[in-house]
Amino acid sequence: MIEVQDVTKSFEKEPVLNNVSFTVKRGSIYGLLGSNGAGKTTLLRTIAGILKQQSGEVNVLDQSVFENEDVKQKLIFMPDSLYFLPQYTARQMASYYQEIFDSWNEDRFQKLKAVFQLDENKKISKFSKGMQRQVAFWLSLSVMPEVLVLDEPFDGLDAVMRQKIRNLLIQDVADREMTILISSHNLREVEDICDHVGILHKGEVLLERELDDLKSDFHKVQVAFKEDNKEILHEQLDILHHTSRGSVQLYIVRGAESQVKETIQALQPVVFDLLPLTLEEIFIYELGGAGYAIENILT
Amino acid sequence: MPSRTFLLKKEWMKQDFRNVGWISIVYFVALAFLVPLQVAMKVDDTARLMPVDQGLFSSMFSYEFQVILLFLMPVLMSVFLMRYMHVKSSSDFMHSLPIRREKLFNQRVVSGIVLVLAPVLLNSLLLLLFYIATDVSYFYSLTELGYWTLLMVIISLLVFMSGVFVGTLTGLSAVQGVLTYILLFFPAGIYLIVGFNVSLMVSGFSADYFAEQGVNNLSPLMDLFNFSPAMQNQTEPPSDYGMLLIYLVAAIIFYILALFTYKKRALETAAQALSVSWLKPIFTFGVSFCTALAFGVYFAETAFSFTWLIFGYVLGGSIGFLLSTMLLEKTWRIWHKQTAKRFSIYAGAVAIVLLVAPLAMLPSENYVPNRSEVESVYLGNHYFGYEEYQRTERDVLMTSDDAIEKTIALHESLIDESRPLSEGGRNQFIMYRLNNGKEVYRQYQVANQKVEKELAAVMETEAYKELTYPIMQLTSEMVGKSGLIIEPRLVTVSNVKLTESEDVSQFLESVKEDLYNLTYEEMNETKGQPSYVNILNDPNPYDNNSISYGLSIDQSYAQTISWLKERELYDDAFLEADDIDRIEFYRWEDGYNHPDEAWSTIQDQEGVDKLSVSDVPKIEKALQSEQEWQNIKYLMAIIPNNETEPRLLGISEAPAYVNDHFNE
Repeated sequence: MIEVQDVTKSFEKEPVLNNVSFTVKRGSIYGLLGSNGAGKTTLLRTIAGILKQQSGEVNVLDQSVFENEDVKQKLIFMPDSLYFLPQYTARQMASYYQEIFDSWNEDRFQKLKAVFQLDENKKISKFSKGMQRQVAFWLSLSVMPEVLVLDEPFDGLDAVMRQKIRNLLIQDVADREMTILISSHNLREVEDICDHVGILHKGEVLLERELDDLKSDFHKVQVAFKEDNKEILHEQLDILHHTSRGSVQLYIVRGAESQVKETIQALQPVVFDLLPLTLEEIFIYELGGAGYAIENILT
Repeated sequence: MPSRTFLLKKEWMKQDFRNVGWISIVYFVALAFLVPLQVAMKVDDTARLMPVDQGLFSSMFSYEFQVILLFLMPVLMSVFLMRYMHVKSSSDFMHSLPIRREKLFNQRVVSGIVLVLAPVLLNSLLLLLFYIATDVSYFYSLTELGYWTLLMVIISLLVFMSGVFVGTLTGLSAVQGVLTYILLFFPAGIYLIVGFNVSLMVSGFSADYFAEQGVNNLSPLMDLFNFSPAMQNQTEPPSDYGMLLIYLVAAIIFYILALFTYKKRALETAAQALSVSWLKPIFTFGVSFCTALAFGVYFAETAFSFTWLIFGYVLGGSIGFLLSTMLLEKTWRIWHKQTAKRFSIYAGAVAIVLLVAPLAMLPSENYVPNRSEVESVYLGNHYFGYEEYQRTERDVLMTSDDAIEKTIALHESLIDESRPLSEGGRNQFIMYRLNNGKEVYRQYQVANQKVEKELAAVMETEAYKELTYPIMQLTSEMVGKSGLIIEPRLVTVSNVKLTESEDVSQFLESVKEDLYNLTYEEMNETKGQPSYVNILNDPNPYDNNSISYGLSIDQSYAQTISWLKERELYDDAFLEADDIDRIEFYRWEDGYNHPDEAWSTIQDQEGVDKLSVSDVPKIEKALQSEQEWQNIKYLMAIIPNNETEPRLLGISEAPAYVNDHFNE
C-alpha cells in the first residue's frame, strides 16, 4: 500500500532523509518511531504527496503519489499541527471536504457526530486543542480513506478519547482494510495499536519489525550455574547482552523460547528464569550504540 | 465525476471570498467614493465647476488616489490569496488535498481576478447607468468611460499578476508585497541609475537623453504617476493604447512565469524569503549592485570626485549585501565567517562589473563623426533644449558645411578637455543627425574658457544663430496686426509698440542683421540696459508645443538702435539713467522674505536709514545691479520720473558708494 524506496530528501543542502526504504502492507497499522529531528514529519509529508523527494520512489496504492489526484483522493494526511480554513465550522469544513473528496460519506459524518459529541456549527478555532484533534479525526474518517497518514496523532487527547479513536481506527482497518501510518516519538503510545514498527534515526531506517514476532523472539534469562558455563552459552546462544550480579548471570538472548530453554537446562542450572522483554528493552539491546542514542523514544 | 473536472468549485469560491472578499469590498467602496459619488453629488451643479478635460482621470475624481488604489488593492489581493503557500500549515493542508497544483493555482488566480475586477466593473456600470439616466456629458463621454474601464482593468490585472508571480518566488507575505513594488519600479529605476553611472564614467554620454528614451515606458508605476491632471494642456490619457497592450501582455507573461515557478516550487520553503534557491545569489548580487550604483551616484553628484564615487560604491554595495543577506537569513545577526567569505565573492563580482562595463563604452567616448556622414547638427546646452526644439517642429538644424565642420572641431576639443565628474563648467549638448538616419547624442560639462575658441567659431556661424534665435524665422505676416512691443526689462517706464507691417518688417530686418553680426562676446554679455522684444500674438508661453519668438536686445544691436533712433523711438524703447528720478537703498534685514514685503515694512516705519541717489553716473552704476535671492544685503528701489510704482530689487553686490554709506 505504501512503498518507500531509497528516498532521499534534503532541505537546501542539509540532508533530512537518507535512502529511506520501507513498506506498509494493506490493512496494517505501521508505527514510525523516531526522536525529534529524525525526519519523521518530512517522510510523512513526502508520502502525503506534499514534498517531492530528490531521488527514490514513493508509491501509495501502487502509484507515485506526488501530484497524483487519484491517489490523493484515497489518502488523508493529518499533520501534527492541525490546520482548518480560517473561521470555519466543522459543518463548513465538511462541505468543503465533500466537494473535494469523491468518497465523502455524509452518513458516516453524522454517525461520528454522536461519537465525538461536538457542535458542528461552532467555529473550530474556538475549540480546545484536543477537541480540534477530534474534529480532524471526524473529518478524516468521514472521507473513508484507504490510507491514513497520521503525524503524532495522539498529542493532546485524554485517555478516554484516545481509546475511542484507537477503536475507531482499528474498526476501519478490520472492516475495510484501511492502511494506517502513524508517527510518534513515543513507543508506548503506539505499542498497543501497531502491528509493525519502524525506527527512523538521523534520516535512515534502522530497523523494521512485526511486533508479535519481536516479542516472542527475545528473552531475558537469569541463570546461575555451579560451574562456569559462560563459554558454552556464548557458543550455543545468540546473546545480545550479558551482565553478572555475583554468581547470577543476566543474559539477553535471541531465539525461539523452547530452544533457549533446552540449551540452558542441559547445563543443569541452579537458578533459571526466562522472562519476556518489553519492546523498549528489545530495541535498546538490538540497536546497541544507536539504541542508547534513541532511548528517549522508547520511554 | 463532473465536479472534479470543473474548474470553479462552489466551496472554493466561497472560501476565497470569505478570505479576501473584504479587499474587493474596500476597493469598490473607495472607487465609488472617488468617482460615481462625485458625479452624483455635482451633477446638478456644473455651472460653478472648473472645466473637466481629462474625463474620469481629472482632479475632480482625485486621479492620484485612483492610482494609489490601483497599485495597492491588487497587490493586497495577491498577497492574501497567495498566503496559503507561505504559511506552512495551510500550505501542507492545501497541497495534501487531491488537487493538482495547476488547478489550485488557477482557482486562486481566477478568484483574484474576479475579486479585483468586480469593483472596477461595478463602478463602470454605475457610471454607465448615470450616463443613460442623466446628462453627464460635462464629466465624461462614453469613450472616456470606456477608456477609464480599460485602463483600470488592465493595470489591475498587471499589478495583480506581478504580485502573484512574486508570491510564487517568495515564502513570506511581507517580502512578496515589497518585492512586487520593486518589480513594478525596477526596470525604470535600474535604467535611470545605470544611465547616471555611465555618464559619470564615460565622457560625452548623455544621461538625460538616455533617461528620456525609456524611463516612463519601463514602469507602469512611473507611467501612471507621471500624468498629473492639474497640468493643463496635458490632455493625453495616462497611458496610450500601445502601452496598455504591452501591460496586458506583461500580465499574461507574469501569469505563465508564476504558474511555471509554482509547479516547481519546493513547498518546504514556506516562510523563507526566497523559495527558489538559485535566485538567492542573483538576488544578493542584484541588491548589492543596485545599492552600489545608487550610493555611487549620490556621493559623486554631491562631492564631484572619483574618491567619493568609489566610496559610494563600496558603502552602497556593502549595505546592499548586508541587507539582502539579512533578509535571506531572516536575522540581523549574520556575522559569521561564511558571511565574510560570501561578501568577498560578491564584492569582487560587483567590482568587476562596475569596472569592466564602462570599458565597453570607451570606443564611443572618442567617436567623432566624419563631415561626410553628417546631415545636420544641433548644438545647445542640454538634451531638454533639443527636446523642446523637436516639439516646436521648427526645421532649422545646422546644415552648412561651415557650421558642421566647426561643431566637429568643438566636439574634438570637448573630448580633449572634458573629464567626467568635473564640478562646474557648462553643459554642451551636441546632436548629429547622420545621413543614414541615425542620431548621435553627446553631452559634456566643460568650462567655457577651455573650449572658447572652438565654441565661439560655431556660435558665430549664421546657422547657429538661426537655430538658437527663433526670431530669425519671424516675418511681419507672422507678427500680424497685434504687432510687437519693445520695452525696458528692468523698469517699464515707457515702451514702443509697432503695429504697421512696414515698421515691423524693417525692425525685424535690422534685428536679424544685428544677430548675424553678433560676436561670441556680445552673445554672452549684456551691454547696457537690455530691452525685451515681445511679440504680442506669441502663444501661451506655458504651452509646451509653441515657440516663443521674444528676444532680449541691448547696445550690441547697433543696426536696430540706429533704426529706432532714426524713428525717434529709442528713448521709449530703452531705459536711460535720466528716466529715473532717484534710487533708494535700504539695509536688508533678516526677517525680509521678498523685496515687496521689505518695501511695505519700510514704508510703515520711521527713521529707517536710507541712501537716496539721483545723479546720473551713480544711477547708471546702480542700474547694473541684479536681482538676487540669496545673501541679499540691500533693498534697492528704483523710482521713475513719473513716480509710478517703484521697481524693487534685493541685491547682494552694490556699488561702492552704497557700501560706504551703510558701513560708516
